[in-house]
Amino acid sequence: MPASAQSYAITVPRNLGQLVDESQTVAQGWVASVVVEPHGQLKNLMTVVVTLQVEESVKGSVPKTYTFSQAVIDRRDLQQKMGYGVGQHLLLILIKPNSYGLTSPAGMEQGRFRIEARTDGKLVATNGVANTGLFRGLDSQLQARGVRVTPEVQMMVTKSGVGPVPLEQLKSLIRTIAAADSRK
Amino acid sequence: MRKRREKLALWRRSAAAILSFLLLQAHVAFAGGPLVVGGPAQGISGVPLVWDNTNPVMYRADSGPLSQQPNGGAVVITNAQGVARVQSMFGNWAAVPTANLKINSAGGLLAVGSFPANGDVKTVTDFLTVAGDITGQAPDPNSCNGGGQSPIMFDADGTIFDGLGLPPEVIGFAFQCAFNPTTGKIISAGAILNGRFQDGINNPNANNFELTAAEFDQAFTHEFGHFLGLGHSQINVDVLLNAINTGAPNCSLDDDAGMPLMFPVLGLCTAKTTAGLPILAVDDAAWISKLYPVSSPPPAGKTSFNAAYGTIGGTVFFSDGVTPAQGVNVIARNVNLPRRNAASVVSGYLFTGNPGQTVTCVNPAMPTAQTCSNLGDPFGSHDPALIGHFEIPLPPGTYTLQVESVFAGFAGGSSVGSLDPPIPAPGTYSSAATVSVTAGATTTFNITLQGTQPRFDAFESASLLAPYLQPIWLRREQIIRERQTT
Repeated sequence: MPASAQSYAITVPRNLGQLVDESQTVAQGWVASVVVEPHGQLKNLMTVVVTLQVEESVKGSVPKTYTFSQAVIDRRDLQQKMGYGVGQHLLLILIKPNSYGLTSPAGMEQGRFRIEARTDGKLVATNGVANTGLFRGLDSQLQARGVRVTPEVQMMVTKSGVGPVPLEQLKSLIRTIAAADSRK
Repeated sequence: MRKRREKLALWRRSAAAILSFLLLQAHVAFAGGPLVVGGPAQGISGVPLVWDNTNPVMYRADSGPLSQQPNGGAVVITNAQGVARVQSMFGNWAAVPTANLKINSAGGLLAVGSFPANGDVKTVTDFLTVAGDITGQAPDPNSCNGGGQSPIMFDADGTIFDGLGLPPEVIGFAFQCAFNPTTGKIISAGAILNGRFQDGINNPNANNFELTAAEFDQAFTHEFGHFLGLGHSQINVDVLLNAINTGAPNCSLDDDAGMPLMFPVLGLCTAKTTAGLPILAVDDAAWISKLYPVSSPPPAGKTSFNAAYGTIGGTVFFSDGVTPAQGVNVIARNVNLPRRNAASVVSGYLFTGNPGQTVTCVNPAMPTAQTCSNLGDPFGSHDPALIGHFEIPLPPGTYTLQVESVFAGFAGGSSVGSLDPPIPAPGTYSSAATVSVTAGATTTFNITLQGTQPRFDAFESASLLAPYLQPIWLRREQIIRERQTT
């Protein structure tokens, strides 16, 4: 089941640079468990608790087994577990957990990428809005920051419209942006 | 150092500049048309979940300001202004002459637990108290999930959104709380508006974004469409596709006028009211009227639905002309101003997006959620006759029909139609044939897609799905003959 549902939220779109800028961690991994449970402190709040077997920390330091909690706002999201499912292969751009230990993908659906293999075996990533607007305005922002990327990544940034993008190039770009952020 | 700051500022300014459209996400959408359709044990199977409109839909509003600057700063939008805007947003829907809807404020919020009557929802605890137990197991009867009230809450400075661990891009959400599982009538729903987007501060450095009042109100009028039971619609999607390809939306006045308010992405075009257009497109008015039709004779100030609308209905088929095709967006465009005068629906909109199965249950004869891996979506009909079926309410006139894929990005909360994620349309359809719509009548028009892949392999036949008009032994002989000739 693809990663998708993220409640009824209305969100403004952000490009990849802004999503990474806003995030604390970016991790690639497999969903090992998904549990819906009441929040320990906040009465009436249900959370989806996702445990990820991390393959790679793309930004920040993420342990091999990483568990996070996300608030469930709409009762029908309880059944769908916010679109998370065991066995999903994901790249998650997550904001910093708040004082209640709650986090979300940056930009909601925009920061949750499902990873799939193309017919040639190469992995591609698609977020919950089919990567719509993911690179919008990014090229000029990268130039303004003096960030250099490989020709392949540059091609992805300037040519991609909508739909899956190569995972390795996406991660390469995230690392570059994160490194530029850390030098701020 | 200064140069770096300038670069960072440019980055941030650019960030603000691309906030030109909003992603409107409504989970479990069955659209265009209804948001949720009843299933075998949830409401009435195949019937959209709607409010009981024999009485006005009543909501209750927060008593605090709609928007306030951070850290207890100046109030930017007072409570009275906020309540007036909410009433105006709901009023857009109630004003549709063919929709039998009255939507009224019942006053301030009811007391729920420690939350006082007529209180101001200021904290995440307040919000959760008023919303109530989301599991529905032991909700306070005055809460939204207890069916006691339909709260419209103002998070004046975004504190509640932060407390829920939501990212700063979220400007609000609507949520359904309670419905009657027997009648399928909605009992309560709620919404929360993030006033941080109206606080007059556009500071992306601090994750504080700003929308114009027209954009903000258009977004929540859309959300209130969900509150009333409407799902998403897709018309003039080429505006979005062009924006993706070129980096800049190119939206004519006709494009803007015809793009439904319930389109999943808002802001591709100028806000409708800013452009001098009605906030509701033809599609929005048609579908809210279909869900809440004014009967005849109409009350004063209203028009009977049957006097003002007819219907084009039929089934979308694969090229074999037998197998129904699910998840194809069907648009009817009037021959006059086709970009403006259009309404749509996704084929199979009343059928469930996930029928599930019991074959792999531990005990298929006794399926339970605990012993089965996929019991399917409890919502949406499981009647196979509704696969590929479509109905489009339309004002009388002459129309052409267009068929297209639901945009691949309309998944999850942005879904259009019952398939999530959407599928590419399995074939194409191009016809200049016109269809006449007469008030009060349904015109049947089936669509057979061109160029679809064979639905069956060489050893099967689409005739297996044909209505069983012959005795089984004759059908078996016919199938054998077909196989012998292939």
